[in-house]
Amino acid sequence: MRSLFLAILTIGSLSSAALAQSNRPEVDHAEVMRLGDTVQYVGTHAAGAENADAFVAAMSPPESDADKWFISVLTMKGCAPCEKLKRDWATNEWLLALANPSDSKRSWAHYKVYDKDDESQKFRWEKVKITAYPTIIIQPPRSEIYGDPATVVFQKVYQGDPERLARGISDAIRRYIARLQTIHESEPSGLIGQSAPPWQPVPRTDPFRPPPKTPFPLIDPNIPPEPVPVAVPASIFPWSAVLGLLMAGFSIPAVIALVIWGFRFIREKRQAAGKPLLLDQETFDELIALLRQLSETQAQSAPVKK
Amino acid sequence: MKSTMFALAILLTAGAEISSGQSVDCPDDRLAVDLPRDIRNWFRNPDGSCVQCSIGMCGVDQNVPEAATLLWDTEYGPRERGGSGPSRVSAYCHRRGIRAFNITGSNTWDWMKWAAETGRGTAIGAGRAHFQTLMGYEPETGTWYVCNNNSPTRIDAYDEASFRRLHLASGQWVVILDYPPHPERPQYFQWW
Repeated sequence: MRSLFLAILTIGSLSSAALAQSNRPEVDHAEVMRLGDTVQYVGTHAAGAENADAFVAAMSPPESDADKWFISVLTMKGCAPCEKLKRDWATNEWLLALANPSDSKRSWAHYKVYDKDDESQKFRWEKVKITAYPTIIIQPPRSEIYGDPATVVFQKVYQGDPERLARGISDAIRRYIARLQTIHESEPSGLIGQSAPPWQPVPRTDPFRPPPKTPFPLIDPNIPPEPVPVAVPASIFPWSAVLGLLMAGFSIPAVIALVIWGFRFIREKRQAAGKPLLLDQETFDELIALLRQLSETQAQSAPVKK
Repeated sequence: MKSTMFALAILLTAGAEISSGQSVDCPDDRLAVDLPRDIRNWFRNPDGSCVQCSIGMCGVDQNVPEAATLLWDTEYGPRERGGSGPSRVSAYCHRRGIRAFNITGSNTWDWMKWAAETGRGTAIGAGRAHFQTLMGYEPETGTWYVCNNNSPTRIDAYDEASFRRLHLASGQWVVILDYPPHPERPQYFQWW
């Protein structure tokens, strides 16, 4: 009888453990996305050795509500990119991995949208510079496990690419965590009687309907600042090809030389403006090599003038 | 003079003793709520709407306009004035779509501590038939910080025993908004 009771207890505990485990996803895909490109060495290494442990811990599901990071989105009325960001955050898996606006309990971070004209919230943003919207600000948890919760770890204006924003946030947190040990060492430590509220509450819905393809705002203060792009030397204009075209008439190698210059010129302009490149470097190099090869083939097969 | 006597009488009735010598105002590390004095003053209570005043303060602190505007006619709903019990709070929260924990009974202490620890305010029963806003709790010293909507420009500090009497005088009932807390006022530190 006693052994039967023990067996029932064991089966009961095993099944409840299995049930508890079944509530968790087999793979926490959101955490994978939050980590981005990370290599963590797991094993025996000296404490404090350079590794990704601290970053992996920071991006893991928080232990308590007080350990959640803060994501504040500052918007304004009549702002198409603001509406796009709010839509993107509700649907895009990269952004949802960081914060779930519709499920605050399962959200990795605390997420809140603020209107710049909301008089009841203006005092919060007095110490930061915000001139373009939507601006995203990331701050450490209230529990102070990652330093002063007032610290702006990331600040950027949304440019329409959710994955780029999510990766930017993760990367800023990675860099911040790496620097955490040293960062603060150098720093000094009645109007109720009326029927309308004493401030203008934010409208429930923004009546503005954005026209398609509204340009995104110019970049505002970027935290952390992006490295200044190294000036790319401008491609040398193929004067010889132009002269060849003028003097000797149409030739495919000369046209190809001009086309190659055109491609390089466009790429350099996009790089300088910080815009995404149309081709990655490998594909671009292959394209140029192919054009050069075509040019050489044409030059060799051209009849020799006597 | 008459109002001073009245205030003293209320305090004595509630059996609460406000700790003296402690001056605290927002922002302060000891406080969970961060509301400047002028904004707290919007929620001064003239007509027995203490529950809505207390919840309204939490609404501004957590940026929940549906709760922040409880006292006034706005697109979020008609104003809610006068006395309330848990069922009325439940009804207007449903109507306005406010997510909240509406807690009565012996567990209110743990809920208040949880809210303070996670950076949230709590609308609490405090004093005889009165509601106030719990602004923070300091476990190291056992100090509770409360903003009374009859004197919203001031934040009162209570020791454990006084706070216990204050809360029990009203009956154990608290309301906590189920939304993220506010972030700290952000500042630039050159960490990069």
